[in-house]
Amino acid sequence: MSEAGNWCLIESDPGVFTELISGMGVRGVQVEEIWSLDESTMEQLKPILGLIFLFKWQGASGSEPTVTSTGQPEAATDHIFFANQVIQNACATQAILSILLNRDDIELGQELRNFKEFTGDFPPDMKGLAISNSDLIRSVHNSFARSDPFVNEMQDPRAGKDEDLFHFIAYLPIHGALYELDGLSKGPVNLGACTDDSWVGKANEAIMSRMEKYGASELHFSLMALTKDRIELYQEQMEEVDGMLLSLPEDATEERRRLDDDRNLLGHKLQLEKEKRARWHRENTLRKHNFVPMIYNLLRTLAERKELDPLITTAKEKATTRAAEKAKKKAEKQ
Amino acid sequence: PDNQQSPLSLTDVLTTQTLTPLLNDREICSALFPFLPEESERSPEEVRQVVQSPQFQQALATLSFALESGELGPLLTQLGLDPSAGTSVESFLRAIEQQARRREQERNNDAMDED
Repeated sequence: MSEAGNWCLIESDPGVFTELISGMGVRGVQVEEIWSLDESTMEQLKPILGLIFLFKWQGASGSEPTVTSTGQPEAATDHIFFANQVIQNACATQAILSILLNRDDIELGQELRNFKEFTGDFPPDMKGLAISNSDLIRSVHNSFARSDPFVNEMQDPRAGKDEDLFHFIAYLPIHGALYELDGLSKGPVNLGACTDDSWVGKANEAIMSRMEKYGASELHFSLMALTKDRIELYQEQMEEVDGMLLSLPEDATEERRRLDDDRNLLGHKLQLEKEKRARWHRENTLRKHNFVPMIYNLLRTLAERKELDPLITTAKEKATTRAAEKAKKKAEKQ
Repeated sequence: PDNQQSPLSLTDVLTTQTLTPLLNDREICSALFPFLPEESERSPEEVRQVVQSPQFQQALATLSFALESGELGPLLTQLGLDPSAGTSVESFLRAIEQQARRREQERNNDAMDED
C-alpha cells in the first residue's frame, strides 16, 4: 500500500460520516446506522440511496477471511465509479464516495463534481490513488482526527498489537442492477437486476450470506445507510401537508383533523432529528478536542490536594489484578 | 512479557469516584474552563458533561497508551515536566506529583521570605 500523505483512523459512526459528507460539499444526504435488517427498519429509512457494510476482523494477520463475493467481478465499466483501495485508513471514506459518485440524484457540490469528471476515465487503481491524493477528501477526512498532538503518529490503541483489519463494502443500484463495490475486489460485482424498490432486500440477502460465510465470533459487523437528509425530508412533507390544509374546503373538519395529526407527527419527528443532529455535532466537537491539558490539570489538582499518590497505589493494584485475571483466563483456555 | 510490570491506566486514576468531588467544586470547575472545547459554554455543568463523555474516556485510554509507548517527550516539556516522565503512565503521574510538591515548597519558601 502506498503512502499518499497521512490518513488518520476515523471512527465508524453515523455522526462522523454525515459531517464528513457535508464537509466535502455534498448536500441533502445523511448517514444512519442500521441495527436490524427487518423490513420495517428499512421502511423507516426510505429513501435509502446506498448501503455500507463494514466489518472489523480482529485476529492475527495471515488468517484473515478470504474475501469471496457472491458474484464475479466485472471489468470496470464506463458507467461505474469503481476505485481500488490504496490506503487502509481511507476505506470508510472510499466506500462513502462509491455511493456518492455513482448516483445521479445527489447534489455533489462543485469540488466533488470536478473530481468525478477528472477521474472518470481512470482505471480502478488510478481512481484509488486519485482519492488518496485529493486534498479536499483527505483534509475533510483528517479533520475528524482527534487533535491530541500525538494521535496521528501512532496506531489506534484499541487495535492492540495485531493490526485490526477494517473492511468496507458499498451496495447500491446502478442502472437497474444491484452492485457490490469492494475496494479489495478487482472490479464491481453485479448481483443481478433490481428495481428501486427491490434492491435493498436483495442487498440484505448478499450481506446476510457474507455474514454467514465469515461466521467467526471475532468479526464485528455494522451496517450504515446513506439516506436523504431527514430534516429536509420532514420539512418538505410538512409543506405538502400545509398546502393540502390550505386547499381544504371549510366544512372538511374530519379531513382537517387528520392532516393536523399528520402535521404534528412530522413536527415531532423533525424536532427529534434536529436534536440528534445537535448531539452528533457535539460528539464530533469532543472527538476533535485535545483533552491533554484537561487531563493534566485534573491530575495536578489531585496532586495539590494530596490525593494523587494514594490513587497511583490503587491504580497499580487494579492493573496487577487485571493482569492476573487475564493470565488466569489464558491458562484456562489452554 | 508476562513477568513485566503491568502498565497503569489513567482510566483507573480519573474514575467517576475520584472526579465527582472535584467536579462538584465550583472553583476547580472554573479553573478548568480554559481547557473546554472552544464552542463549549463556560459553566460547571459543561465541565461535568465533557469530563463524563465517552470521548474523554477515549482520550484517557489514548494518552495512557501513548505514555506507555514512550514517545511523548516534547508534549511533556510543554506541560513543564521532565521528558523522562514520558516513559510510562506511572512515571507521568509521579512527575506531576513531584511537580506539585516542588511548587508547594516554593510557595512555602516565598512565604517565609516575606516574613
